[in-house]
Amino acid sequence: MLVFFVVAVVPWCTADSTALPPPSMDRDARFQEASSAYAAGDFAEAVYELRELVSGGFFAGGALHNLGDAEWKVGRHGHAVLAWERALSLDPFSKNTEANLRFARAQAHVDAPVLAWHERYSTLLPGGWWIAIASAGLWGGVVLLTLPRLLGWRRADWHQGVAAALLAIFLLCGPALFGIWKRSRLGVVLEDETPLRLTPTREAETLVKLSAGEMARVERERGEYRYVRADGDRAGWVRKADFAPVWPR
Amino acid sequence: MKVRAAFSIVVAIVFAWCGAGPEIFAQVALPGVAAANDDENGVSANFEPETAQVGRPVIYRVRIASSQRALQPPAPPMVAGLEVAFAGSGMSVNITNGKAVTVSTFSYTAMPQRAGRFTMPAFEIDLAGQRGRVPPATLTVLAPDANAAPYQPVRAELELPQRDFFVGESIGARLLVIETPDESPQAISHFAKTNGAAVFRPSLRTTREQFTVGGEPHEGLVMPIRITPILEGEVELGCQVMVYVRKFDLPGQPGLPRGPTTLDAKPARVRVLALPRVGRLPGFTGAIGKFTVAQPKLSASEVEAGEPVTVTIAMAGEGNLEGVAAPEMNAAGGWQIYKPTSEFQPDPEDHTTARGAKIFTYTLIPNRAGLKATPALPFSYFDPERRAFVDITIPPLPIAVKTSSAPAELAKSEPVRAEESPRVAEPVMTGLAEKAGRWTDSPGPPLREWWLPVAELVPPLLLLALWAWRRRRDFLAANPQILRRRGAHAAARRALARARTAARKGDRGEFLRASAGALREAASPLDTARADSLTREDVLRLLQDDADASAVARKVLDSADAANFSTTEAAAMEPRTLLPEVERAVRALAHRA
Repeated sequence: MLVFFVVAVVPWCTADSTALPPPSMDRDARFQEASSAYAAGDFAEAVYELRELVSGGFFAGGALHNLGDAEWKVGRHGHAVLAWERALSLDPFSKNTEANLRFARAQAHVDAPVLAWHERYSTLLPGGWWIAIASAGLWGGVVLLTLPRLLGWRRADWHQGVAAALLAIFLLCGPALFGIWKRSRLGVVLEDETPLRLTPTREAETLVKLSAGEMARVERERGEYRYVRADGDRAGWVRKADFAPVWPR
Repeated sequence: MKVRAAFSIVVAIVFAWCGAGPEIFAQVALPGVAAANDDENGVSANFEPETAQVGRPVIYRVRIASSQRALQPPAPPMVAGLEVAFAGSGMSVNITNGKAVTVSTFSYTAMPQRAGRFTMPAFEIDLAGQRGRVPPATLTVLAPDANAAPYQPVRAELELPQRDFFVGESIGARLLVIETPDESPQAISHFAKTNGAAVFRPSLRTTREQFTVGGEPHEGLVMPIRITPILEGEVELGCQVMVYVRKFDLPGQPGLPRGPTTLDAKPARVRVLALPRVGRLPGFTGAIGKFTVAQPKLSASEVEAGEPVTVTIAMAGEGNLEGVAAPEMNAAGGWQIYKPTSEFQPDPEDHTTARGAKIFTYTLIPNRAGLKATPALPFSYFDPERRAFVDITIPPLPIAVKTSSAPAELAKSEPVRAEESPRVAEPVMTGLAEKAGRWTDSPGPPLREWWLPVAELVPPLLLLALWAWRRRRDFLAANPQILRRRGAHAAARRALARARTAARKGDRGEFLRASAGALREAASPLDTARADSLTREDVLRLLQDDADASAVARKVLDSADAANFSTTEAAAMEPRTLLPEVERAVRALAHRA
């Protein structure tokens, strides 16, 4: 049974570290350098250092939180909200990042995105945790129900009890997994006055303009444009350069 | 016709105006002109002017007078040597003798590529479900005047101060959209930067001005832009704008708009430096520019202990004021200091530069009587032209703090109330995270990773393999003869291998023992007895249907028995000759088993 749990759970626990690109730079040193620059008031340098890390494919909750702070200081409000949203995805327990998002939205007069109940439910834990718990619940329950029979063990009450509990955990993870899938389409408007266009062309009519930091859902893509739907059913095409998904693909 | 035209009252209302200017409206709304060119279907077409030069655009115009609703722009056929592009449309309603007539006009820019006589052929169009015919139109194109300049479209340039810049600095720049003898910019509709080396903040106020570019005077549109470089090194600052342009039919005579045109401003290559690490002064919070600080204001010059007092500091000048954080005041010396507030006030009369003021308000509470001055406030900024940090520290402000007149109990409770921030309800930005946290390669869950479905498949595959193993084990337990047969075959193969080895070595005794063993092992599944307990007759009985195999088996078994008592009999056998026959007899027995 242990083998099954290891096979089901370990990939999510170790994937983040094993899938990382080779450390071509000292990430923690760069993070500290950015923190020092920020503390000295050199926000642009802090942005540079932290953006280099992110561009290199290195994400961490604290680094993204600080990147959001620095981006806000240099006036790139959309980028700040994007960094904080990403930080919150990695560490949903960070009250400071939550507070910064509330602060940014209050300052920019932008509403938080309207999330369905299953999407709010999925924000309770990091996305990878939900997948790991659901996998362990499903396959653990199945293993406990089938293994005694396959190996000729004497059936015990606790087998069925634990299996029922694990399958119940799996069922409880279902809405969260659906919420994660729905949230994977969320993105942030990066630039202020971003035009929402009628067609995916540069000369297209502008339907409405979105503010930096607003969130919207990507529905489809074509060329250099994404069709997004913001709150209030404001839907149209935006340039990819003006809109970034919270979870890059 | 003239009478009708004279009495026609034009009450034209333009319903659709796609990039067209008032000139179209005026020309469309002239019923006399339109009526004079109408053919029988109420559709007319002409070039304006009808004579042009190579490289100079003219207008090709189609008027449809019989339509009752908005029409789609017709697509004129291609004419070799003439580039035609849609420029705009308009619609008007003429009331003639009490009858409303809708006139739709579609304009196209036609650019002749060579001299000659061009004819736009007649073509058919869809008139709200009916077919209409646009009559042909002719354009005469003359060779270009040898002294005439080539056609010059509008162009854009970025005007920057001629110096090095610093990361985080707010640079006051201007985007110049330059008018030419052939085209005039009318409005800027969209602005976009072309790379991520800097943050661009264009102003919404665009003015028409005269300016100098490359030592020559020009006129055009000017858009103030604030640029903040965020990357260090040699960077290119460029931008792209969408401009509504009007072309001149003749020098000084404005013609039809060309519609929105995308212009790339010539990239400006600048050097961006990092702020010097040496020479930084206390109280530097990122201010870069040229600033002055007005005399700080105290809300009261005399307060009681525990009574709040505010210090207001106004910092004015040109630079990145909007992003400047408030410097920290030292709380030592008997003062309790709250987090300061700040407010940026742009200069209402100057929209072209990053000029403005930033007001910092500090709330202080003296903890005891007898204090004579507020704490000093270290403050500094970086001057990019002088390339040096400038000290603008706010000195201590004189104040008299008296003993509190409140009752002792109240005085005791005062510090407790003072702990509560006056702006506690307002959201504030939190500080930096001290640790980076666990590094990952994506901020999201591994929804699209290849290994996710593979890992999900491993547990069911393992369970399936376990189930198959269990089924196989149960099957073998129910059919033990399979295992017995398998064991006998293996033992026969091993004995045959020994026999082959013995044959190669010429060891006749060993060959006979191994061959006899192979025959007995091969015969054992057919009998309930073990192989070593089978007699010669048991083996021969199983081979009674195969005379050859039976003869070989008899010979081998007899020789083997004899070999146990006489070496001469065994020596008479030739193992190499007998081996194939033994193998065949073993195969025959194995086949029967």
